[in-house]
Amino acid sequence: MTSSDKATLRDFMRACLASAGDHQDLSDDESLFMSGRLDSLAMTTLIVFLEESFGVDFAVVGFDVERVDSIAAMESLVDMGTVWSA
Amino acid sequence: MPTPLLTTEHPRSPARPFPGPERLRELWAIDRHAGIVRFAQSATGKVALVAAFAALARLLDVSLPYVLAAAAFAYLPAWRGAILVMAAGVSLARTSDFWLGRVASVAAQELLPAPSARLAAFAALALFFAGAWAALAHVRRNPTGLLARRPVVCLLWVAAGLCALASVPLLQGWVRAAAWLLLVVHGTYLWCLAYALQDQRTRARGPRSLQMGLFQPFWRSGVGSYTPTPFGKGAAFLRKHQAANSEELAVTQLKALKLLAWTAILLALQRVLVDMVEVRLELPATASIYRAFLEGRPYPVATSWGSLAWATLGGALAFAIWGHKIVAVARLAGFRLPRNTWRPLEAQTLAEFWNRYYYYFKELLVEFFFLPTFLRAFRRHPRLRVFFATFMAAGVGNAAYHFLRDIHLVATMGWRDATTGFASYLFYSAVLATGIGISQARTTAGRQPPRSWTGFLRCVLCVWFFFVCLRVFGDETRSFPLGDRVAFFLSLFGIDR
Repeated sequence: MTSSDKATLRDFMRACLASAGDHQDLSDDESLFMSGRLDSLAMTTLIVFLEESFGVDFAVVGFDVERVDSIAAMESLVDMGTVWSA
Repeated sequence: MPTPLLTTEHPRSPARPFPGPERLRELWAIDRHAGIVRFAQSATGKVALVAAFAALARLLDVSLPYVLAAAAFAYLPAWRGAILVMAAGVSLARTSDFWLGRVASVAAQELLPAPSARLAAFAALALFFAGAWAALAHVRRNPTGLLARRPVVCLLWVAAGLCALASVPLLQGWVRAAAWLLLVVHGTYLWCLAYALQDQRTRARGPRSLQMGLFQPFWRSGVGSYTPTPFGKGAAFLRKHQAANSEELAVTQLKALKLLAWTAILLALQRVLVDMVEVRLELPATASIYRAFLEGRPYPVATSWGSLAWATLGGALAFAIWGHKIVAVARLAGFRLPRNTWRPLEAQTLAEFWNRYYYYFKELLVEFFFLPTFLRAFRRHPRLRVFFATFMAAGVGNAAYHFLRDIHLVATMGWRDATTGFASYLFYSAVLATGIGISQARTTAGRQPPRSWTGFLRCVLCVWFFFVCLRVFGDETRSFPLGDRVAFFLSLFGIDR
């Protein structure tokens, strides 16, 4: 994932948190879903975002909450998705 | 830095004769007071905290041994696995009457003496847990196999197979009772096993014994009626929510104490309301309302609406009390679990209501029905994708959960009557799923609830009115067929059959 892509991802997650009334800082390794900061509806929005913006196909890479639970995890997921589709 | 309780201004100084709302919030926020958190970490503080919790637990009929198990779990980290498993074992050993009660009709039909019935119960439990142990081992060895990738689908097929087995006419005696019991046990622990199977694929998965201990955790065992819904979901969720140090543990345990104190207040409120509504106003129960309608002597429409409204609101209050007790015991053990019910009176959409009313059931449906469907179906049609996935969760998943939870009714009533009686709940699930699906799709499309007070009230009243109406079909008894319930529902609007 390029630094520009990462910035896009980070901005998106900040917007999701803000719409849930959460304006606290966000670190790369911080849990987003399993900690309860974001709910399942936010997860569906994130899934669609990852599919449309980065071409992640969860039918191929498999879905696991831990894979989208933090910025760092999503970065690995996108990179893995790139390898799978290459 | 948390706000100290004691300031230079005494709460009852002339300038402020009575504590205002902010003061009350400060007093209530014991988990944010540095001094109290420090005290809760001391030996004296721990004793005081557990004693206060135990005193409240006794008031609320929470079983004391499980409270002590929670305290031991919190303070003896090296023994946590053993405490979890032992508490689960003790709880299972004490529940043979519960399982036997589920298949009492089968035991009576087979003329089983009590010792044979208990043998059947233990055989069924042993067989289920042996099977679960083997399933966990299989997924560890085959993390990409079918059971690992689609655990719920596989477990539902097993349930179907057990249904077929238990219904075979050739089975007799304690073998027939054990077959029904195995089906009942499977239907009860299926969701715990699903979470455990999922956890086997994670990096930080725990030992299998720990996973098995979570099938009957002490925080669920000590509180009244049993539920198949895993409070705390699975091991992965619990790991993320376990207090990481003594300060976090103290804060979590103070939250446990607060939650139990709040539950005691709700219980007092419940008693006042029950006295007012059921004793003084003599509002009849909904079953009486239905029966009277079917016998041709219906209650006045206002009484029927009042009964439904009280059943819905009073039921939600009782439900909150029950869920709070479970979460409080889990928090005492050091798990920073979200409440199961959180301000349901503030829900402005149907989708939001389920998140606030029954959080852990919603999470179960999302994880095992919504997400698998969402990832696969209608990917090119965003709103249909959300609606269909929601329908699979709130409709199909909801119905499957409740049918399996009450599978013992098939043993009691027979397949025909049990499934005919379930038609009303199927209708309820379909309507609920459609409502929540539309609500989700609107939210996904960017529709926000109104921000004004009148708009807020209107939304909340609409949400609760929807559930009051749906109550007619979703009370989970199999006594009144769907057609009669539809006729009764229409009569509430002055439409006679």
